[in-house]
Amino acid sequence: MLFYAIQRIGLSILILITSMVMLFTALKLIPGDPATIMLGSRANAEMKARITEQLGLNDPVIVQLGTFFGRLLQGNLGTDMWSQRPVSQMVLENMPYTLVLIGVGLGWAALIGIPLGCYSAIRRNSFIDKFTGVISVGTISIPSFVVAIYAILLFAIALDWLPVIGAGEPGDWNDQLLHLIMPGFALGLGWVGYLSRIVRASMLEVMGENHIRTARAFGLPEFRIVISYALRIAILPTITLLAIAIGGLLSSAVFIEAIFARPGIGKLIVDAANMRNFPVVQGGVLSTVALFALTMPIADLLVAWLDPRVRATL
Amino acid sequence: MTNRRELLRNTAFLSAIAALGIKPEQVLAAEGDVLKVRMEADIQVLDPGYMIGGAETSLNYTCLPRLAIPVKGANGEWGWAPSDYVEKIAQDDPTHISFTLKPGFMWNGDLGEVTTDDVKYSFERMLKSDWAARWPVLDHVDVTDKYNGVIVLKSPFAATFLMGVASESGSIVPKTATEKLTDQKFTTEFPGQCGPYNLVEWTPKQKVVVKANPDWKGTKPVFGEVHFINIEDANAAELAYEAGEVAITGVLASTAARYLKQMPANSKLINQAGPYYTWIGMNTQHEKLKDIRVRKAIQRAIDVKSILEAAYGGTAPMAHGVVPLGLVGNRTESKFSYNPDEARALLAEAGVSNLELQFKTLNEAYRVTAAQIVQANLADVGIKLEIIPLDSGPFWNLGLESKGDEWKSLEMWWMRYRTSADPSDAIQWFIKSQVGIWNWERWSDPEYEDLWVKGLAETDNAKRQTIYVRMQEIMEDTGAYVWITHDPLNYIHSDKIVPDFDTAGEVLVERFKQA
Repeated sequence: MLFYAIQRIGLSILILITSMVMLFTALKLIPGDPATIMLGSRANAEMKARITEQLGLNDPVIVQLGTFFGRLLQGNLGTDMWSQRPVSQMVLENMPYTLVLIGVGLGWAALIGIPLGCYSAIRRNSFIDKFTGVISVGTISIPSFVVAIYAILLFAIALDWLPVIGAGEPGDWNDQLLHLIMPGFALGLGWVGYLSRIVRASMLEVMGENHIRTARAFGLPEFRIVISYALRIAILPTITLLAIAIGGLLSSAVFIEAIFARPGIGKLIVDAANMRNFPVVQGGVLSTVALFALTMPIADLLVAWLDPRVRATL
Repeated sequence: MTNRRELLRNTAFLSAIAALGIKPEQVLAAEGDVLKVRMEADIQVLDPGYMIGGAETSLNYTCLPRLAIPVKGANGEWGWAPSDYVEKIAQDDPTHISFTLKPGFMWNGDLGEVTTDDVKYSFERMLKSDWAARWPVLDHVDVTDKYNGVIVLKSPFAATFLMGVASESGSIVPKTATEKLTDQKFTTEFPGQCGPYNLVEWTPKQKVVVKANPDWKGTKPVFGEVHFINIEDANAAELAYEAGEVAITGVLASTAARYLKQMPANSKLINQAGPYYTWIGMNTQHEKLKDIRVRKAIQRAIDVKSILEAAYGGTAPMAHGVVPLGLVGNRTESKFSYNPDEARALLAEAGVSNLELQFKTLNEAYRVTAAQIVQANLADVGIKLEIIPLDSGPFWNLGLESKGDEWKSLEMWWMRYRTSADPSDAIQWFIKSQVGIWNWERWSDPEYEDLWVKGLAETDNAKRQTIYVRMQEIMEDTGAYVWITHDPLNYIHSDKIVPDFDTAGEVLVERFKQA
């Protein structure tokens, strides 16, 4: 188990280093002079010289790469070109909003997807099963920003039930929760289908196992069999799926944060990209890659810890 | 059956919980003492010397003192008026502006009174800042005493007020507090405030809150509190407005066109001249375009009205030069119009056939739409146009000689510049020394150069009007320009408020009124 953990964490570190090099290279490959791109038509020679100096663009590329890694090892993601605020501070300010949003999105997905999957498995080939199949495919294929816009039109504009903009008043938990309902729903709906399908398939497999037959033979209530015996095992594949979902949700969060004008790491990156604020883009992207790289080994280790069959194969 | 019943019961239970937490009614964005306005981008630099713009401009106006304010005349022309902070301000002669501050305007944070020393420090530091171009002829400020001073210019410059004194670049900062800062600069926190409102809260990426300053001795603002809500995306801002979360927001031209057909309830739409000028440029030195008859043919082959309809939803005015509406030098008509027959005749006269050109534009939907219309128009007169959409990096380097040889192959492009409230700012990019920098059309004219110098020194507005109109005629006569529009600023706002703006269209919340 320990060797497996070291292996998984090592792989994540490798992914992180590779993506850092790719990100650095990508920014170097953007056509045009970064200082001119940042300043646009208001650029003059002095301003461009100052920006070039601040970005360290006068140094050879290899030196720039070395400086980039050196700073990262010290936890320094650089400085915002305009406000001069540390990028690490900006990332730390915004990351919790994105994590909470993803958490609520996953919560919505689990809340709808898992019961749907269970119900479909129990009532296999029934009308309900077929109907939930259609619903599942439907939710997978609808982009989160479409859900977001329709949710706003319905719940905020037509019905006037829910707030649209921002993350709510700091310190007001009720307000913050209200501001999470729609964005979380819009973000999570796309994963309802994946979850329900995988739970259904997994449940069908487990429901045919000997211990389920034994439980039925003992006359246990069907509800108890499903929840206590079948779902406990059938839920395991969803852990890996949820870890993968975090990657997908991180990218979808960019749209959701833009539409609901919520703070978050996606909005931070998009806003910075619009301003050509490269240090913030770099820091933001690195943080999301690091988050995803961290999620995958945690999910693998969790599955290994929960499932003795997986543990036995290590 | 049991499971289904439970499922229904649980669903109903969850719905009830959700419903309990929902606000019974939404607070209107302009109701009571709080006004909520959209800010397009979060604040990053409030320092008037290094700011980016947007809400930073509005906050400069409302939290910092100034000697004069911009005022829009009855005919839509911009002028200036003394601010609440001065007893008098007057141009004594073309190079001297004297002023007297009103006593008793105090900086917050025990920084003392606003004095002439603050004015001198604030204006002179602008000369070394990123916005030095706003003060092109400022020499220095003479301090007579605590409240009296004189702004001394190196040479006469009519736009000193609109570009400098009465703009965000004329914001006054507290000398003693600013001097103590690293590099004597600030970013997201004012070193001291003295205005109708004080900035009291900034939640990054969410909002900025300003509250009415209780110690303010000038005209009291109508709203006790203003929230600048950060909504970057224009479509999201539109939804936020319709949901009642902001009382005013800028909207896209396409949205404005839709609102003109069906206005949201209790709303008004403002469509006002913006500080932009958009045109199609042609490289006069390119082999394919060096014959002026070809360029003039292209001028006449492009249907600008169709472009305005398709790309701007019919909400944008047709331009006739580079000086926007409301400014001295604005031109009301051009010497050419859409006439494909004349275009064909000019091409025939030039002996040009099967001409193929490249059209470069920033890769934005409305610009590409416009490019497609240009493509169809030119095809109609026998010119084949290839549209090349570009990202901002390569695009902004196209005409710069310092960035390679792209300028040599540059043929046609779609361009938009922004100007401050003076024609000299709009027109400066086309003088001879700008060839290879921002004069991508690459032409020069001795009369234009002469008028450029005269325009800067002239203070009589009637004479300046003649000078700048003539300069735009010269530009037009090169055949290198197809004027498109002065992109308007469209705002949708609650009919409960009467908004006000500066020359660049930034909201001046301290001047908002309740309808």
